Amino acid sequence: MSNLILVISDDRNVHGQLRLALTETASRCQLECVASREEIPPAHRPALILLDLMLSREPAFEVLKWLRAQQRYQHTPVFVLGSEIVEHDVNEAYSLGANSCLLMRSINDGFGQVAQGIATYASLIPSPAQPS
Amino acid sequence: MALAKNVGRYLWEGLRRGEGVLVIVTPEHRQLFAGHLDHLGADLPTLLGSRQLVFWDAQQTLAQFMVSGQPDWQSFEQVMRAAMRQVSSREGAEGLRAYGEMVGVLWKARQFAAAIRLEQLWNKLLEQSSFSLYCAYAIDVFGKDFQVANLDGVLCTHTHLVPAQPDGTLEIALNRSMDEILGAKADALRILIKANYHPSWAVMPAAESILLWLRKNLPEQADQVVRQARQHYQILLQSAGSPLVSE
Repeated sequence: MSNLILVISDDRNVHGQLRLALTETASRCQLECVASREEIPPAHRPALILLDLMLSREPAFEVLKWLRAQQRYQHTPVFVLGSEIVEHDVNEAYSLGANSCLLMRSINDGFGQVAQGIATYASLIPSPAQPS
Repeated sequence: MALAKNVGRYLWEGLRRGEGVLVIVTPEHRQLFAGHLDHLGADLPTLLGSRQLVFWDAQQTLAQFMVSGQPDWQSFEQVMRAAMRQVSSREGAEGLRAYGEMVGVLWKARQFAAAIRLEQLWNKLLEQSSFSLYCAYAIDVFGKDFQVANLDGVLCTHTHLVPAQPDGTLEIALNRSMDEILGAKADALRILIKANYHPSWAVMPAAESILLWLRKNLPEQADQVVRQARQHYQILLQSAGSPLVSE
């Protein structure tokens, strides 16, 4: 069974880089990209959630709080993606339950390798039980 | 022993500058550090007699400010200020430096919350007074207790963190173990871990950060990696004649 990575970001570059990384690593993981929490399919049980800190429609921290309040996402690893180091934001993300905060100084500079790391990580974590 | 070398250097530097030096340690470490200072050329009878160097017992000092299993700020402040008043810098010099193992004693007793609280009290005291502080903990980085939930509070309170083996031995052992357990995936994971930003980990050496990240995010694989890394580390240290503890 392939693991599902849910990406919550309205930045198409992020989606593209991750798709490319999955192809390059021949990962069996699937990618589902949404721009907001409303777009998350209710039946989805992702193995990993990637949350962009720079969401334009609502604060990412609100989404993170919401994710951690949902029983089905309580134990799902959430990696926060940020484009710069803002210590306060990063600390806030960890206090709200983020597992990791990844820096993407530039989407076009080195993020491809990080995306490959994400795909590799997703292939190593156990697949959550899917609803029948 | 790396601990004696690291701490001895810190104490000796202060003594040579004429600073007052307060050392709050376990009895065995008192002997260890006194021996090391003696080896470095310190005139211990003179330093102790003039109170430029003062030793206090960690366990006895802790007992003076622990209330219901937690360090109490008012008692802590009172006790530590009394300890500091006992120390005199050399004539014509000024400054005070302290070395403490009380947090380590609490950590060893698995009283993690109390250890973190005590670190916070030290920080509060540092904000109010002028002295430098060096702490050492005997933390087994391969142990199950070495994980984010226990460590974050302690790490947040430090400006630097010095491993017992600063020569990269742990990193070599860990990388080798990751390669063996995770195969080709190890390299991609290392890049991912490197991209991880955790402010309180900034003070920590790379190998310890990798261990914490693995324990938090890949607990199943972390157990295998850590088990194997411990073996590699032991072999590497045996050849160097050091104990299996990161302080």
